[in-house]
Amino acid sequence: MTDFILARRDDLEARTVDSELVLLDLRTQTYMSLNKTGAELWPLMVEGSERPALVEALRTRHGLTREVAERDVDALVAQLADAGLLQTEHNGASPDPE
Amino acid sequence: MAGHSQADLVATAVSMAVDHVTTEVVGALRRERITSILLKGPSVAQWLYPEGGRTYGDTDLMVSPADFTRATGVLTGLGFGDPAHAAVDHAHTYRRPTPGGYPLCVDLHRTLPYFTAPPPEVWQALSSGTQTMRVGDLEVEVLGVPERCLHLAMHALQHVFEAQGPCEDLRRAVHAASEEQWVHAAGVGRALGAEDALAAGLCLIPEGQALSTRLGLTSRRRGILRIAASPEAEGPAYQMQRFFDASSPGERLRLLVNPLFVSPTVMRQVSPLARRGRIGLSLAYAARPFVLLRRIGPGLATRRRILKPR
Repeated sequence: MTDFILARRDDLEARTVDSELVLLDLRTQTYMSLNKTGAELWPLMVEGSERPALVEALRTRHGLTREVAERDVDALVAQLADAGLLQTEHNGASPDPE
Repeated sequence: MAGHSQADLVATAVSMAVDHVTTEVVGALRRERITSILLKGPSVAQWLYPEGGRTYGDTDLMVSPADFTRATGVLTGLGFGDPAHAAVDHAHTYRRPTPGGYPLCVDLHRTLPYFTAPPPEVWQALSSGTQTMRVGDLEVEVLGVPERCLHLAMHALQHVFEAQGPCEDLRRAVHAASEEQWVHAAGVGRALGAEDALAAGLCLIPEGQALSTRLGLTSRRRGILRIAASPEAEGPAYQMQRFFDASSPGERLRLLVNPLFVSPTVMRQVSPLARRGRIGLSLAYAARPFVLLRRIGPGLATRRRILKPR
């Protein structure tokens, strides 16, 4: 069983500032900024990705060990989930089959 | 993290929120068949700062004076409260609180500062050369380049003692627009009774001073520049200098008469008496000439002190 990570799309604006990403939650009018690593993973989460795919993407791009990459992905996912910017499915199925 | 300060990221987030409000308000106005022109904000950022970094904190929209009252109704319907800082008649500021703790503001303009032509003429001239620009998911109308140049010059003059941003906008506009576009801007400025202000605004920066000379604009507003740059400057002294700088008896008459006929909204903002129902409002209008007369003496004294040769 793997976690499917899907970013919320509604009422959310994203703007790149150089390598960083600013996310504005229009429901709460609060913002969050993602560093370069988070900004790289964000498009994958907008499309919807399994957690291992995110870990692998991070390992490949930055040459990290699996342990470090897993820790970084989990921290990012937790941060986004806390901010209400994610929908997480626990059954491994994409919530949007199209 | 890259080299962005927290303040930069906050400013970016606020600009994003402003863009969202802009599309919301412009869309709502359109549904009421009210044409609006977006001033500054994205129309300056996208044009003059393609590398990014030019942020903004509010939405400036201009509507026809004929639509102004209806437009205020649209803003109220969207949750924007009574106008604040409406001590000037060219625009009213509407605010809407957010859960994030900062208010979203819309400055609704019926005309622009320094234009001495009647607001309907200003609208006619500025709305005739608009362009469209994408903001969020909406194409919004913005001033044409010559009119934008004109506005930026006068905006720099208006905020001469505040931040450096307006002067930097102007400096970039001097380089970004063609000489023909500046000639057009000067023509619009002359037609709307704002030639002096255009010249004064341009003279705030060296490149603008040279351009002003090439455009044949006479910088008769040295006095207003000195007043604007003075720490002693305040409204009455500034208005006195505008009166002395006026290029025609008609302009002087307008500068005298226009403050008497501010809108009820402005009157309620500046006069506690005007907030006491219709009778209070009528009394406030009746007292207005005397209120203004009382400011002339102190205004003249401050002006004389600032302009005194040292």
